[in-house]
Amino acid sequence: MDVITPEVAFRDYQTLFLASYISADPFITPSNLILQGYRGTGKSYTLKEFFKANPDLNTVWLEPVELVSWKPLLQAIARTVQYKLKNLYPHIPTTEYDPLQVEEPFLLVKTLHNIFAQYESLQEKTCLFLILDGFDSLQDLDAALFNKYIKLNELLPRDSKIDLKFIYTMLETPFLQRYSSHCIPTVMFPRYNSHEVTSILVTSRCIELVEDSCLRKCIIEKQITDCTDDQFQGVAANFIHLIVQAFHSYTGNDIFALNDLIDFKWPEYVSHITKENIFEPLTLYKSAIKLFLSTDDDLGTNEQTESTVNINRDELKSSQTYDLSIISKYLLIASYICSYLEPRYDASIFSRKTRIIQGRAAYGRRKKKEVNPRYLQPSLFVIERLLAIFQAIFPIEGKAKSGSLSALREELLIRANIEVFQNLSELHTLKLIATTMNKNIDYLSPKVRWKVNVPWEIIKEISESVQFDISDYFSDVHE
Amino acid sequence: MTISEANLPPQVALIPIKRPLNEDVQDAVTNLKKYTRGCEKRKENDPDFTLLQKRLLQQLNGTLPTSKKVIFKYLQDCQQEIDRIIKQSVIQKESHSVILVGPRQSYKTYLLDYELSLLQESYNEQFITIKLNGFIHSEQTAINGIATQLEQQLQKIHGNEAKIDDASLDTISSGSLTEVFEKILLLLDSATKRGTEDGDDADGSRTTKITVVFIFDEIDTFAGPVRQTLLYNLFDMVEHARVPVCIFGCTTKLNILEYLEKRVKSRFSQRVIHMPQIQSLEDMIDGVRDLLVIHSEVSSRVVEWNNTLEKELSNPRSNLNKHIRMNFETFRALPVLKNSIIPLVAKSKNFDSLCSAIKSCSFLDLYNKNQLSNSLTGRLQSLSDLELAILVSAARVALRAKDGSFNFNLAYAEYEKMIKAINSRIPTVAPSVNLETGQSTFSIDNTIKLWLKKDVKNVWETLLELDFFTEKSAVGLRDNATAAFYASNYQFQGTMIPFDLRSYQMQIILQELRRIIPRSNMYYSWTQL
Repeated sequence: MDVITPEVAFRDYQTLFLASYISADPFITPSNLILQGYRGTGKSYTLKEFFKANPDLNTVWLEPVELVSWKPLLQAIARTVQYKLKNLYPHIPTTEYDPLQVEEPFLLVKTLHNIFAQYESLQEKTCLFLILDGFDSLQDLDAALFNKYIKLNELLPRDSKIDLKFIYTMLETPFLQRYSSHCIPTVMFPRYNSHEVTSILVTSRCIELVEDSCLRKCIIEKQITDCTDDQFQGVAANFIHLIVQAFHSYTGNDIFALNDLIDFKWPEYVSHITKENIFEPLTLYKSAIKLFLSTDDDLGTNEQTESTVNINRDELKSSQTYDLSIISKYLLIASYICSYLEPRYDASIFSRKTRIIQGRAAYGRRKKKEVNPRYLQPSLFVIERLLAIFQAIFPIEGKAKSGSLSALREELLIRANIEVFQNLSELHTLKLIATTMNKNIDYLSPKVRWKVNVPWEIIKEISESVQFDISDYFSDVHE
Repeated sequence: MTISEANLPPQVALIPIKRPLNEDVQDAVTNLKKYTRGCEKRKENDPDFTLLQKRLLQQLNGTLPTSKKVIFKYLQDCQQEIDRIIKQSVIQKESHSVILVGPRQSYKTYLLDYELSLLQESYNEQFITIKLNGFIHSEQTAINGIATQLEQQLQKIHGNEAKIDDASLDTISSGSLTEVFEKILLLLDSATKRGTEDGDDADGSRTTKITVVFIFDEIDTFAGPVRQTLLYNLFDMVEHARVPVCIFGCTTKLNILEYLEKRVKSRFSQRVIHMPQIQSLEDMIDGVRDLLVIHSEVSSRVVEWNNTLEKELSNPRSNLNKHIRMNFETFRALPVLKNSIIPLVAKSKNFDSLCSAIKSCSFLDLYNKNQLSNSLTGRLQSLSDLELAILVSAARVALRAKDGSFNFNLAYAEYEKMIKAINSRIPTVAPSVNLETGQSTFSIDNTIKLWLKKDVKNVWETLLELDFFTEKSAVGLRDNATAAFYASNYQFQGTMIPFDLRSYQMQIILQELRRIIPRSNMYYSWTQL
């Protein structure tokens, strides 16, 4: 055919396929074409390369992800198509249609009809490719929307000089499979394998890494002079190989994640380069071994782990996750206990007082549970139980002198005073404690049940900060 | 699509620890590449071949001029039927309504377009066509759609003189919705004036009315549960109006008559045409013959091509026939086959390569492979070892659970157990106690790294993104825009609770996993409880 097939690494089949479907001749171009592939499989890249190699094919690019809803998408189509045609054929007099008038799929048909009618004086039929890049990334997507676009060309006039052709790219196969009976030609972009990912990264990133200022600076500072560009490229390529080998199982075949890791670890890696090890990848690897052992892809703690010693990190840990008040912390711990321990065993765990009236203490759990409840979703509890357990675990207030009269007046156990309730409602607004989902819940209603909304890792940190051993309470249950 | 999997070469080693490249695919593709590049270099640019290729592609795309279009043999009865109805209403000015029922891509629109464009040639002035699509038009906008198209089409026929006609009604499509609808009804319901006038314009002696042909795509959306006003009025015109109205409805629903209200149904002529289906393999082969044989002398190679093709089609053991048979037994849809033949024709650089391509049909294998490359199997084969380990652990948890659900915590606990068990069985110099405690401090080469919980979170999200997990009892895509809008206003519980407590369900269960993961994989033994 009269199109040029560009060279795209590892996408030979796909480019061939594109070249056989997309052409300047509207008679041999299908009006809908789908490119499907998961994230980072080179759909947009290949498509761009294809149209770059064939500049005589007219395209309009749209990204539905930033258009959010169906109406802006319609309007954007009307706007960009009109704009594109105006640029293409400036000599043809046109009246401009307001793209914001398009408020219905049918009005888009009408507007396009009107726009195309102005170009009847053209010599021959031409294709205009409308590319909806990432159609299923539209946020308000529903199942009926794609049907509308597939059928648009049937309502547009057949003998018009401008023939609008749709090219969609989409991510998810479940979405695509809904429309499989429409038999729209589809090109699949499978995920790359690790070998392909590496070589794509090496070709795309090497030069950028070598030209990075941190490498330049390092070389000048350490006076590494006897190096050629090829050797620098080798260092960068080797680094990329190392990154992929170290983190491939963590990222999978995800180009974006690997790119981030490269950017994130390259300055560190460069700082380990010295005159001696620049030519010896193995020694360089060993000196920078720390980089390749952990991903460090969280914010905040990175600087500490890299620059300061371990002691500092422990200190950091002891200053806790949350700056909550002491009451709030115990309330959170109590609510965790309420959510994950069963109410029937509470009496055996928390009761300590001696009895005056005769009665039997609760026996407690007979058998350990098979599934660790901490892994499961929190269960609901009533507010009174929370307050009871809060009182049971809260450290004893007010140390009275022994035997004094003040000991009589003193209440050793904390009462649910105003602060407790204040803290409780604050915890709720911080989304650390949740209720059953309901609009306008009434806190004062007896029907409202509560639950904790915090994972074990955080509650553990919180309980460590107040020296409360919460794992003790859970060791009996399962571990 | 799944059946053609059988045709693919046996699965290559996947997700191995050493990860060798997929050599089979690589080879096929590089061969293909070399081959086409080689052809490009020669670049004969044979004009004969280009003409042939273009003609073939036009035939496959169904964009030949109307007189040359080929109607498949199995469709011809149906086409005759439609032809009769259209001609009766356009030439003899009778009013008809009919509904075409057939699955998607069963040539409903194709046949209607074909018939109308045939009539266009001889009776251009006699009718106007109004097309509505149930996807694009709603009950409200369909009224505007009819008005706009009436106006445009009438203008085409009348030229400038249309002004006289429309002066009394202003323009049809302007005004409020009720006005527009009234105008349409007035125009169509009792168009005596218009009929006589335009007859005068056309001949001067005879007065003929213009037939209005309505074509509804997805007529079942207009036959909704609520009111069906539009259908009522249009079918009413068929019965009562003095303008000949012909209504074609296309739908995929077999029980379309049950959708119609009583009063709408009583006005409908009860004529439902079911689109014929491919009954036998011969139909299918004939269909392919119609698609690929060239009947006119466009190029000097035509005879040669037709002979080659005829040989391939008549030989029941040929590769082309094999693919046709496969399609017959799985999809039984010519459009599917058409999609795969188009690139086969289009990628060929010269006549010889085209002939050999149709003989070997190796491209069709490649095509089928590509169509399935993002299926669940294809995605599973693209996972890294850690991703696979997590997937296996989640599947194990899901199998044990009563409702098949799991969350990150449970799956990670299973993963931890699995890696520890694998590592404890690996004979090492070091005592196993050390292995269990230290991950990085005492790392021995042949043990497997136990990734931390925070690292696995990334893997978890990848698996979610690749549709291996779904949120428990999630409603993925809503049916229509209103439902999607309601859903977007609702805050779901799954978004409120912490990451590692969210419940998920599996898309692929452990038993299926076991059949896809090769035996050589180190996680294979973990694919059963």
